[in-house]
Amino acid sequence: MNKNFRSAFENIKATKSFRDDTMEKLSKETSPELHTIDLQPVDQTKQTHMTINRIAIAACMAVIIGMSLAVPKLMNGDQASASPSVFLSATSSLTETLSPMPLPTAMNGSGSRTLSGIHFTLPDDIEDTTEILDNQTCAVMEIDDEFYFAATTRYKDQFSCYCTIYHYDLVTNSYTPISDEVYGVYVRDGRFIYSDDSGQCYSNNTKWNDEKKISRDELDYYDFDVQDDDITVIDSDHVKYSIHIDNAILDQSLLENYSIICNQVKNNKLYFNVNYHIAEGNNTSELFCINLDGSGLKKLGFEALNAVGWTRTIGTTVYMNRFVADSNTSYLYILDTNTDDVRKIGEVEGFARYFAAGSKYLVYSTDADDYFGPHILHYCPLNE
Amino acid sequence: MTVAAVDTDLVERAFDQYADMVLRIAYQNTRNQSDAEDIAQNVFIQLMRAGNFADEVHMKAWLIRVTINQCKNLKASAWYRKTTYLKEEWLPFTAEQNKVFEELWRLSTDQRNVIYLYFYEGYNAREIGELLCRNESTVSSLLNRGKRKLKQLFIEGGYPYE
Repeated sequence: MNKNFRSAFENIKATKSFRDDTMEKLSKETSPELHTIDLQPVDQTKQTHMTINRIAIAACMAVIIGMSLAVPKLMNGDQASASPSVFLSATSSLTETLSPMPLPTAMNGSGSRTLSGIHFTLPDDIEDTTEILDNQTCAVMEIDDEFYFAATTRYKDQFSCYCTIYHYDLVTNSYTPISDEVYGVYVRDGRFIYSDDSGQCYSNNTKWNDEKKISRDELDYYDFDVQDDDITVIDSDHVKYSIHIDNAILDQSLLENYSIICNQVKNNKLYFNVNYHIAEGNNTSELFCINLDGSGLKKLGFEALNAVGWTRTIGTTVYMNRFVADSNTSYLYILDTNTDDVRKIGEVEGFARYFAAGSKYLVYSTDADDYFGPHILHYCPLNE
Repeated sequence: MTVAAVDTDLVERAFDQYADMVLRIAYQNTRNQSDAEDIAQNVFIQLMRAGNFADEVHMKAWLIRVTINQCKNLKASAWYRKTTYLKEEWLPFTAEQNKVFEELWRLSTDQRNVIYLYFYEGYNAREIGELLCRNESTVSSLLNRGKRKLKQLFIEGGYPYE
């Protein structure tokens, strides 16, 4: 396929006449008369804007690079905690523009303790170690107020990785592996969901002694297809929902370049992001939901952050990270899918990758040094 | 007051290096040579107005993004929606090459762009995510579904899929 694919595209080339025609048009663009006459009055403004844009681009590029590395390698192993809550986290330098919602001091990360790093021995049969992200978490989970994390062991393919699940004991400040190496893990209804190489899914308890095969249908799986503003949702029973998004609700000043990203269906509502591309390396994102019958489209209100955002989709819950340039603070949110209220539960130092909240504690992982390095686990008390 | 000179050499070099890529992306999105060429010209005119880039990697990424956006804009225009094209091919294509495009056009726009960037331009999912403002897992999903669908289409059509 690849050979035919390349061969077909090789045929598409700029012809000489096309080149000549384009060059002629480009030369008209650079005509000194045109620019001198048309641009003189706004020249200074343009220069200023360009300077600002370049600063913004420079600032944002650093984050984009980091963002891309922060995107979880594990497609379906990054969920935290149980339904019906949806977890969100954000990083922003725009502290002054954020909601003044008062947070208990214990929730702002000041009381957090840093847990020790996680270390693994890489398998010998992995040749390209540049693709191996050792000592990194790919999920932080909570079941019955006990915390677990999944640590990356090696990549399965270009897009996904294997991991081992550990139980973290907050009392003794120690962690113990509880699982074999698994592929893709998240928590649903108090059990771990994961799969093997063949794609067979399983669930297991926290003691790892009650493995049960589960079918894809049991996973409340939804497939999404987005064509411009039209979304098709297909559930595991192959029922198809066609939804049109009226873009009047979107940010009209940013309609030049946006894309819709479906996240998850919960309570017969589709949750989706709209990502606006503002400029090179500069994106912003909003969160919406709509009933599967196409009614009730609404934007979910929480602090508008100048952010690159994404949402991770697992089971019946959604976990979202939103990050912003030149910042080292992460904002953690919970979205109640019954009421669609978004609540900030924490504000922590560092580039938060994953988090989970219990009744008393919040556990999260951050980069130790940079986007390439190992992660560190932290926890802090909630409402103590 | 003088206007800062536009770096025509840069644009010309960019054209020589990336015009084919821009045309390929535009063609697979518009399915029409004239539209693809119009879009390519607009993209390079925009490049001229955009100013300089930190490096060539950024410029190439910019060109890809702007090309895809131009295609979206074209498709969104009322004129385009009311226009029905006769099938226009970029001749000469062999039967196998035609088949590739026929099957590609049966994929969604997003799947098509992701597959092109992955197979032809050699970007990985993370990089495509950056280019298209999508998260990596979405790109992976688009890629995997696109590949599966293509494979199925090729097999159903009696063409080898390797």
